[in-house]
Amino acid sequence: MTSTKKKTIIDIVFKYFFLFFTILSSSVILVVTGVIIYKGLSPFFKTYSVADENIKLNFFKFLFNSNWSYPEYGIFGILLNTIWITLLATLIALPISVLTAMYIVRMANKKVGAFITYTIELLAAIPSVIFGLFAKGVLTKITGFIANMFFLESRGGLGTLTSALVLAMMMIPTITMLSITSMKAVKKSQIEGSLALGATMMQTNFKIVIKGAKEGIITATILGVGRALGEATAVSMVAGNSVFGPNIGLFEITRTLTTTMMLGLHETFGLDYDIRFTSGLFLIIVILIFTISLNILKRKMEKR
Amino acid sequence: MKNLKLIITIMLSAVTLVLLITSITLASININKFDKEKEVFIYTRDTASGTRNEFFIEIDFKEAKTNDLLLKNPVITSSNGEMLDSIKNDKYGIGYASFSSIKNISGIKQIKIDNIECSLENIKNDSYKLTRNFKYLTRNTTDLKQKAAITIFKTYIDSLDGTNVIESEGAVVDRTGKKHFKEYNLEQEEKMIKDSKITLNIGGSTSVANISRKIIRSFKSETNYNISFKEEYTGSTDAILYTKDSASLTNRLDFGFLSRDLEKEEETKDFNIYDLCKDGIAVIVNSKNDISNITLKNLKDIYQKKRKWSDL
Repeated sequence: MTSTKKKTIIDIVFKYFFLFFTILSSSVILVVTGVIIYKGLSPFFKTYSVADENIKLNFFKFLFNSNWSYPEYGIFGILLNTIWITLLATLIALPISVLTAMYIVRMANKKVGAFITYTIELLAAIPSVIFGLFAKGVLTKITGFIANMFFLESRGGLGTLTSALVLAMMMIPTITMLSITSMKAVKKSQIEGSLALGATMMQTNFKIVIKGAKEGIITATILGVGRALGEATAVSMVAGNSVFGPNIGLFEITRTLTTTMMLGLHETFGLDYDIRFTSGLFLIIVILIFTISLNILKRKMEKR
Repeated sequence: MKNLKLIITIMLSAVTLVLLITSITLASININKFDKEKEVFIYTRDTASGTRNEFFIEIDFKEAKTNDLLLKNPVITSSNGEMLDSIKNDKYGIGYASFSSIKNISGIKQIKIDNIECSLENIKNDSYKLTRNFKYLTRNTTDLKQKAAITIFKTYIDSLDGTNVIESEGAVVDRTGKKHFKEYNLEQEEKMIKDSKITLNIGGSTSVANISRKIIRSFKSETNYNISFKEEYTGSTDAILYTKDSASLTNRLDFGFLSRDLEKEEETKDFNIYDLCKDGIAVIVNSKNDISNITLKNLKDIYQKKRKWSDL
């Protein structure tokens, strides 16, 4: 009797113990987003006095202005830049990763496949600063050379294309690893059925394997794009930090939401400091919109 | 029919191959050539930088100190090193950097302004205009012993021995009429601190920290006063805030070093202001660039408007 009672008490204690930690961990995200929202909105309500001038930002001007500098900040150009660079990076990374995954799953012999998988896993573990250094030292020279080849102007290779390339390099391991898993999950009977019906190996690979792994590939893309959107260190080394946006040209210098937050953060104060939180707020919004819309797309595909 | 297809494929691939090879060779020739008809690409530091502050004041373009929108599509770099690296990579770029930092760096070259070169000599005789002053503050205190120690160390900074250290760090000091430290008459102060142990608190700008540390090291090795030092460098603004009697004991400074000039409203009677040394701001371009001189007016111009290298 007493031992059962003791056990129930222990159970209850542990239940609340775990509940405490659950609340603690989930409240972190609430606190973080709360602070970002509060600080990010403050430039629109607070008046900053800088050198005899009183500055208060107008939200709509901020939203539709595309130049970013003190004292007239505008986020429109940076938003477009961020989306454009991420799109470019996805366009580069997605085909490469999916085809790599298909090679590993469908064509490579076991030893080669295991070796490539291992190297891709290693690639995923490389910190972004290292990618940034590589981009600054090597990629800028390559893009500069390409620009030269087409007689285009480039600023020592800094800009949109280099940023997209370095982001693509970071996305590739994420997308490849997840694609491999989802392609391996495609049923053998479907593949064999397709082959038995007279489809060639290539037709089977594209029409059965990729179609079957479609949802996994979309999840992989969501994760990859999430990494690309949030990446700051590497991109800020090669973006060039333009002031006038939006920057669509491949060899133009650019500026993204994350690089904006990083540039000169340690030495600034007042409005120029607080506005970085606004930039962070917009980054959260962009990531949320993107994740939700891709998830909706995924669910619609599942229904079909 | 099948042969025709094959021939077409071969021809097409041959044409693309030839095109590719020619464009690559053209590009590699192009990469080492400097084309004067190309646009000038400007590079600048971010608005929090002290170097940027002084640069735009000196080229008479004060409005651009904190406003990037007034510049003609600049690349913004976040440190001295990034600036040097960017100019090294861009043969049509122009930028500016601290004079002492660009020694022995390949791939870039500094250019003259109004035919005056940025050199130690020209910074010293004021003919080179793009300079900034490093300054230092000493606390005005009523504690006589502390005051005596401050006077002794200040004398050392201003003596030939102290300025020697500063010049070896690549900055410029006016040394006319200065004597060796031992030749100064400090008897009164020495008597005052004779039997006590005194600590001097040193702090201020991180850019001046190197120079300050070297001076303290040489002071310790060359003299044998009973003075010890406590150093903490946190920035010019802190130096102004804490070099006062009214500052709290934990962060009160006796010497505060500055990498910028004081604003009018920052000046008080709590401290004395002295010049430490001068640092030049050099204008730099890629080493492939064949320009060697620029007028101050043109320099302001290219930061404001679209310009070709041939316009200069």
